[in-house]
Amino acid sequence: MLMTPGKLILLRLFNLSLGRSAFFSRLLRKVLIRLLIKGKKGRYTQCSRYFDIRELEN
Amino acid sequence: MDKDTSIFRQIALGTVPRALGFGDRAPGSPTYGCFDRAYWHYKVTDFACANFQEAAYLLALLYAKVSGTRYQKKEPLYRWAEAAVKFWLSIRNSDGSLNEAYPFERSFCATAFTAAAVTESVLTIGLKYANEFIKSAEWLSGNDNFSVSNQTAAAAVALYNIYTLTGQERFKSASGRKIDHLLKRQDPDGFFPEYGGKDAGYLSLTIWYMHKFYLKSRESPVKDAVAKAVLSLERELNSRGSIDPGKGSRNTQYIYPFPSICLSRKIRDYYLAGLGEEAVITPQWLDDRYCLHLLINYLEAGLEEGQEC
Repeated sequence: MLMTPGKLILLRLFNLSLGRSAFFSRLLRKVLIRLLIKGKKGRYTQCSRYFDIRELEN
Repeated sequence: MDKDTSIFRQIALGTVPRALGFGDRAPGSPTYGCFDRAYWHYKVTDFACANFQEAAYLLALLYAKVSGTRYQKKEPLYRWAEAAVKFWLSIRNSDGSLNEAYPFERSFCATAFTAAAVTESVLTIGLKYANEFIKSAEWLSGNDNFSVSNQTAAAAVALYNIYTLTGQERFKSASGRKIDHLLKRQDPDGFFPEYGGKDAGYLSLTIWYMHKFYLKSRESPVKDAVAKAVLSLERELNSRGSIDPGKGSRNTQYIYPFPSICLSRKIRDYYLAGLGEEAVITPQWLDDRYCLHLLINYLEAGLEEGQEC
């Protein structure tokens, strides 16, 4: 799920309104973790996809 | 002039694995070939910054030109280079321009430098692309940023490459117009102005692209202008190969050593001394955005063969 200008605008509107509250900020984090990391095929891992020398053997 | 370029090669090759990690190398991914990791991997930006696609030329150099390495003639590099070119073609605006800082920016800088890099890549490894570049060449022909000489020099190289690929004389003429403008604006001191003044860092970048243009076109006024610019750069370099950023019109902190190290013994000696003392900024020190550009410069400096100095 790539970021787009539309999604970014919505995210920032949320960040600058409800997101100011710690409760809603934590809620957003929980939703994002559920959407992007938990229970998803090919889930998102930040520390990954770096170059591996074995890729040159393919 | 004798060359002692092994240190450039060593530093460049040590940085290459980091740069390869910038790219989405998974075929089938919608962003296959994108080298802006913040966009395709972290997903924190809403558009792909075109500048990262200069990696296409890095991959082509590694595949075809840098001999005796683990990368030479390795098929994945060829495929990734093509993917990087294709991704570049896919992120252009409808008029052929590209974006660096925000969507629909139409950045002259990004369009000039990335068009030069992807076309260099196509020429280096013989990818079958030519007419795909016409829109960008038309945009570069019709747009200018003459207050920034380095970008104008990059645009001239991009246009000349597209002329070579397509055979369309109008792009050779457009390239010549950019170069004529640079030659007219060269200061008696030898520098090419950056926002009205001298900036040693950007001057070294302009020298790099003017030299590339000369090697392609063999126009002797360009060779003379480069020689004069190198003398101007010499005067800004201290004995440890660095420059005073406070003096430049754009406060640049570092220089692109190639080809100036080949054209001036003083620059070569000073820069090599600086490298020995770890006193000059190398690609390893830079952030992702600027690392690629200086890395390619170091790689060109370290080429063992086929490089004319």
